[in-house]
Amino acid sequence: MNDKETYSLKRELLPTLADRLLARHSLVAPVAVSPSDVLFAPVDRADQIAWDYGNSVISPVAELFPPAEALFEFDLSSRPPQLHAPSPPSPTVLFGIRPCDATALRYLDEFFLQGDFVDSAYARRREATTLVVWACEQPASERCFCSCCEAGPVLEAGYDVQLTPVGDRVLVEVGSPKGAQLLDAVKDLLEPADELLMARRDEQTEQLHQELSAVGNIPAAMRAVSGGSVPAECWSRLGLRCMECGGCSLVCPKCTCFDVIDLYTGAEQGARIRVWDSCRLWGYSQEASGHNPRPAQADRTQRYAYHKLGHDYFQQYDAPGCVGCGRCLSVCLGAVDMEAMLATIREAMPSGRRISAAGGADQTD
Amino acid sequence: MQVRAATVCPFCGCQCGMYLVGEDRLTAAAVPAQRAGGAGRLCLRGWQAGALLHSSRLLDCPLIRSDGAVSPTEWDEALTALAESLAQMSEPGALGVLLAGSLTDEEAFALKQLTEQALANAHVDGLFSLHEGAALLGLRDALGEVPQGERLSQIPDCDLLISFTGDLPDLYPQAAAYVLEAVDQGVPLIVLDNIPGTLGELAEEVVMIEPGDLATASRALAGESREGAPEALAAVREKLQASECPGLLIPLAQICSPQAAVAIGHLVASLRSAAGKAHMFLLQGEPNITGVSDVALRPAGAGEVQPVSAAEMLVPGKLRGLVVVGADLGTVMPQGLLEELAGSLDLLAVIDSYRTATTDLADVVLPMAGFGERAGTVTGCDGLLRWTEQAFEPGGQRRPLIDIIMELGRRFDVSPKWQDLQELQGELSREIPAYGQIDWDSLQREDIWPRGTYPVSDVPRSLSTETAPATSPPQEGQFVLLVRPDGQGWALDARTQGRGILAREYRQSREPYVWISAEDLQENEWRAGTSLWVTTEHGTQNLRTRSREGLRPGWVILPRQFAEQVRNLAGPPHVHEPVGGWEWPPTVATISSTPREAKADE
Repeated sequence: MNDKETYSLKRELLPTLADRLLARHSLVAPVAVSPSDVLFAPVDRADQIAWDYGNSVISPVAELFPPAEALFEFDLSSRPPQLHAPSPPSPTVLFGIRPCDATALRYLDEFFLQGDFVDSAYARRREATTLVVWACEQPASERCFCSCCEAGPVLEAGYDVQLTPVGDRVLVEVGSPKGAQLLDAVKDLLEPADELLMARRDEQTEQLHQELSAVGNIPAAMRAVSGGSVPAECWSRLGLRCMECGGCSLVCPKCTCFDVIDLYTGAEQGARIRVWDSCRLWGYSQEASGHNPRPAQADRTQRYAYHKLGHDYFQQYDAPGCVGCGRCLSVCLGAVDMEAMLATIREAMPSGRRISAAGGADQTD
Repeated sequence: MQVRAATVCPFCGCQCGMYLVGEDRLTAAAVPAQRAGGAGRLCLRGWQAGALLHSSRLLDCPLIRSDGAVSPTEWDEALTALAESLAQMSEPGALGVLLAGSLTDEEAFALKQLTEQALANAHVDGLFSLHEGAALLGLRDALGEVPQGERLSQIPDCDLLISFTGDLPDLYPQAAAYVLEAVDQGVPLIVLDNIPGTLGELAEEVVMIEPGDLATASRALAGESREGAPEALAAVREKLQASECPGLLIPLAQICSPQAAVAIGHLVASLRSAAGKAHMFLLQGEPNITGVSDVALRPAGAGEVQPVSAAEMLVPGKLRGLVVVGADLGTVMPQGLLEELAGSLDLLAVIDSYRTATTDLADVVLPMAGFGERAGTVTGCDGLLRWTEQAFEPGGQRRPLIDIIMELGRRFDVSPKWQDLQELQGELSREIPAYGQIDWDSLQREDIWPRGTYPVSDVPRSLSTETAPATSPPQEGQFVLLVRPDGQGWALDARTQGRGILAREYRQSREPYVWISAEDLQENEWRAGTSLWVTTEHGTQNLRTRSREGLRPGWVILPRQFAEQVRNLAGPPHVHEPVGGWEWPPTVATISSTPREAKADE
């Protein structure tokens, strides 16, 4: 029984809903920056929003953990040196985010906000953000496999508002008080959701699960990777094809590798900048002594796989390190993305320990 | 996140589409695009291109040398000083202008107009001619038109791929990505090179072509003559003949001799006449070598003086003045020779966005707007124009190159017919026939436009048949030392230095090294990463060793970017005239772990 606040919206009223929200809030939404590319960017009007987008080039988690951000500015000419925090972020509605990216945000929340250290830059942005998820009615792209990672195509939790298109209607689910407050301004557009709409949504979701689960057997690959039973030759083969662009990490909404650099704008003035980084790059793992514990790309590929498919990670975060958004499949130069990694691990397993290609039980041949 | 500009990667000639995003310059970042023929993928350099907007090596203000020291100055003073110096070099053969292949079409065209109208006797060439000019010229002569490759996205459409380099993944990752896509679809890949390279590890077959034998091998593949060619090429020719759509991957910087390029051009022509769909994929080291060549480089014999190539311009004493635009001579010549060249010139002027070894020695430095700071078109080796948007206003006191050119023109009483970029683009379309169908409005509508054909039959060039001298084979215990382009060559590019991830990833690659096979390391009980002493007839160098897949036992590879070490071990380059292309024949080397042994070996 669904005890959430749920509504039904005529699909044709989506632009009206967006315009109403825009009258009160700043919206960052999917925008078609070219006929083939979508990026999340601030919008002024509903007609700027790409409603039927495949998947954005980079994840909208970049709004909370940007490719580069100033942690603070400094002026060393002052006595004592002056540090200036960046301006506080203005309240923003992150509108139209896919379930896979919203799932990644739940992980980023844990990574940056839980434990002994709270990342203040992330915390400020997260606090100022209201999340409106645009659930999938069909695979967002041919590369999606969120069902393998329990990250979609529809969310049970982890949103403020979730919009699920079902035919000529949109199911509107409220996931938090922040979401309820957001919808106050559009209540007159909403009708109560009936049982039929819920049933049609569930049927649509089940059909999608069938379509999205064929990429790879993630649980079996996790056992193989965590158990150390993947032959070394497998990592060498993947490493040989990797061209070390770092793109897989940079587009992954769950990757949190970063580096920190000081950039000078004057002789003694500048800013400390946090930039996205990648464990696939040589310099990422180099130690201060100059020693590099992962000098070969095969070593770094194995490390990357552990982070995505390791059991330790699963135990800590209750999910694999992948949400199945498929972006690594789009950007990888050497085709050593998650799908290829799962396939290579599968093929490299010794006969008798071969794992099945997708979802189902392991083979025991 | 603000989307600042849709542009094209500023590094190699693969011309990957990208967007610049970020709140401001300090947080600018590049993300891949499908636009402009991009594949939605970038290599390391592309992903980190946003760092070029906040590099610590960006030039902030004009510099002028006075009493031996360089100091900041005002724009007006720098421009006037440069114009006065240039005015004193109007006699034939006194002045040279060297261009980078990273300028936009409009910038290059404006420079051409300035040199024609104000510096009529100046020699103009691209610095890229040293490494890519021989191949461009050879292909041009063989094909009878400016060589125009196909789009890289057509690589997987081929049914047979021949790569003239085994180092494709290191040199041109985007092209290699398409090749791997084809290989995964079952397309046979054959590598023709003198080392297998990383690509060789993934290829169906590697045919070793010894240095200097590329022309012979290409003639054999074209069915012209099999004399002196490796036996294995007979089978490759059969495969080519059976292929309905073969694709040739041609890295221009690795085709050092015009004769080899002519032979490859004939091979392409013969395949096109037989198969009809033979594809030629030209791989270049800078994004706009084609455009700069199209619109700015004077065809041989068209000027008032016998043209002087880039190679000749770099010979101390040849010229009185040299203007370098967007290029760093420190990437092609040892510091000592660069200092000698600078000392021999009455004027060394540099217009660039970044501080380089050349700006450090210049008499006048003018800071120009760089990547992300100006709009314009670039023309790919696939013959497509791509529009690049401006993301930010130029930082510091940097100014757009076309503004600098207008200011210099005024000081020569030259008034261009254009006052802004739009008018300049219109002028370019009117003046350069191959760009005639491209207008400003069309460029705003679409981000890719094909340039017209560019026949050159009216500009005959007679290529010298001289080849680089052969080298005696190594004795037992000796090695073959070969100078080659290297994927880490970007380490010495000023744009990749400064701060940030790109600088971090390349930092290790600035210390000179040689590639050596794992077999040789093991046999001699050497280790990768240690220093070894390499000795040839030209000298001795201490170099760090590196190893990877695809190297050839008995050979050491000296990356071409280490200009000092290249001169010391391989000697001065053999120069192919008339284009002035550089080639280093293989050298016999001995290697030892101590300087004493090295001396004994001598």
